[in-house]
Amino acid sequence: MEALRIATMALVTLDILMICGIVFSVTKGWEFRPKFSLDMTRPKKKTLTLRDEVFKKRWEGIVSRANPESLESMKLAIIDADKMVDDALKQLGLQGQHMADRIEQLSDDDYVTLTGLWRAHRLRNNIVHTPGFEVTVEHLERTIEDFKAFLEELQVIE
Amino acid sequence: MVADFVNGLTEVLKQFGDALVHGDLSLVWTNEALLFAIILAATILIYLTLFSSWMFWRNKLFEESFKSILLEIRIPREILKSPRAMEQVFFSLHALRNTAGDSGEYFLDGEVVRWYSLEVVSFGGEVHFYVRCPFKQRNLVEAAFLGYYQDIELLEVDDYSTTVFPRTLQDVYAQGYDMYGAELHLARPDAYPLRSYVDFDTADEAQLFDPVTNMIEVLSKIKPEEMVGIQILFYPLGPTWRKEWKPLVEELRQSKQKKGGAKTAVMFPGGPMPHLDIKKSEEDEFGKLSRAFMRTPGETEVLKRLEANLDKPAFCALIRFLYFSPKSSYYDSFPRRAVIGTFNQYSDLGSNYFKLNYKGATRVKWRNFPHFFPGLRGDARKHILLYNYQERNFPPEHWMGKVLTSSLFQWNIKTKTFQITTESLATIFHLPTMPVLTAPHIRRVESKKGGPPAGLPIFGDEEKIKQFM
Repeated sequence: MEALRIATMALVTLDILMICGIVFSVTKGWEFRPKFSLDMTRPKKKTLTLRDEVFKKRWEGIVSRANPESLESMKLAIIDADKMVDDALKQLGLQGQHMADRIEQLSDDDYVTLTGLWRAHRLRNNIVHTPGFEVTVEHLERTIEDFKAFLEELQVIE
Repeated sequence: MVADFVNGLTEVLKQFGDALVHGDLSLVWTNEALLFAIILAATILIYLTLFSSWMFWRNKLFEESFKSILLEIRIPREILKSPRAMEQVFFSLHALRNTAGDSGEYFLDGEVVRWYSLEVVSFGGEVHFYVRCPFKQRNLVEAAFLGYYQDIELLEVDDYSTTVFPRTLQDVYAQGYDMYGAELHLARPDAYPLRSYVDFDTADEAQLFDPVTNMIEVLSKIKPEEMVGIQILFYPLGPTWRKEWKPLVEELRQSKQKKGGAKTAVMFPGGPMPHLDIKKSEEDEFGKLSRAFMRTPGETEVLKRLEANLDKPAFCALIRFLYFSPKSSYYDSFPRRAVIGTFNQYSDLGSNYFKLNYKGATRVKWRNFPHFFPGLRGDARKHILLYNYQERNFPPEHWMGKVLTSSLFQWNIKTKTFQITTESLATIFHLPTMPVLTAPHIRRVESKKGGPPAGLPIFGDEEKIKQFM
């Protein structure tokens, strides 16, 4: 009976080892599994849509940070807004090294607010690149309006 | 010794039965022999699971290790070669068969037979031919094709099934498409041949036609926004494939008539009338002959063709097709009837024909078993078919592989492969021959090819000339 007990113990050890092997090879084999999901009808990749929550929140953040009493906060808001428009253009699938390259691919005929965007983008470049560039708060407020108008036309924000 | 073991086993099983009957499983724990038997059984099960999941993983790694490429077959204005040339191509491909040579290659490398894919695809009516092969065998496959079809071009192209076709099922729906997919398999035992191209061959040009015309016509009749892809996957089988059909041949050789002759003995009270008790001995020298006469001409013909079919090298094959159409004009009768129709031009009801594999096809109705979630099951089938099409998958060899590639609503176990000889394969897929040349649906190679004349002078310094030496 002693031999039987030893054999049983040996088998149990073998079982445990083999179960580890199963777990290992199933984990490895799992990578070759097609990606199933229960709801196949809904596209997984998020596309740029009207009233997109992420963009809406981001824009609201920019507006709330722009304090008309402080010139510096307005300048920062302009830079942020410019970056956000750039991201929206990238999501549209526009290619290019700089933001200007991307804007160039749009035409005046399709977007009435494109002139405003160019104006706003140039102002932002001046703020970033030109030392001692002087600008009034009213001018900056108008620039933010330009960005907003363009984003609205893209239907990124309401 | 053996008797002791059997007695011991029956004793153990009896005790186990008692334990179950009395609902007292503590017997199991107290009886060591019984415990051992149960653990032994569990060990065997666990071993089988481990083996199949391990082999699935290793096989997949091997499949990934040979990168495959897709070559487009560009066809010239006229091909004068009959499908016989295509059969020779298949003979050449058959010779490229690889198998696991030793246990190391089988268990560790997970070597499987490399397979090829011949594809006919229509993008909105424009028909393309493709061949997909392992990257390293490109030269050999090109040699096989160009040896018999000198005027075709084989160009490496991007895989349309992931670039032009929607990548996933989500993409199918996102692009406004609906899809139908199914697989075909042979309806009767694989040893029976299809009608062969030899039956279509004739010396009389007026009667010459090529059934592949029908496939091209059907594929070119789809709407501009629709897409159809047909793939024929195949890998070479070893020379022993015919052995498995020996019993069938034997069975067909025997006549269906009852052996032993007619029983015309008339019973009388007290036994049969002696002189009417006809007994046909097995050694009857006319027995076999008379049985041969009892076959109908049709049966003899089928047997003849079947045996001829078994003499050819064979492939294990799989036919799969997908159909994409915008939801507004989606009409799944087109693929269900027309595509299978193009393949069933070669059908011979006495011999063999193709059948749609309904269990894996994407048309699911609540009326059919198991009645619930028809939408989800249909989607799962579409998903699996699209995945298998893009990966050019044969069904996994080991059952854990099937489990791992299954969806909750559709198990990946419905695919049926079949054995098909070079002749039948050449019949269902060959490059369109002479009579098809007027069809305007294929983009063709417009120039004829020829080699340079011999003995052309080569200009260049010695370094460059050395390259050509």
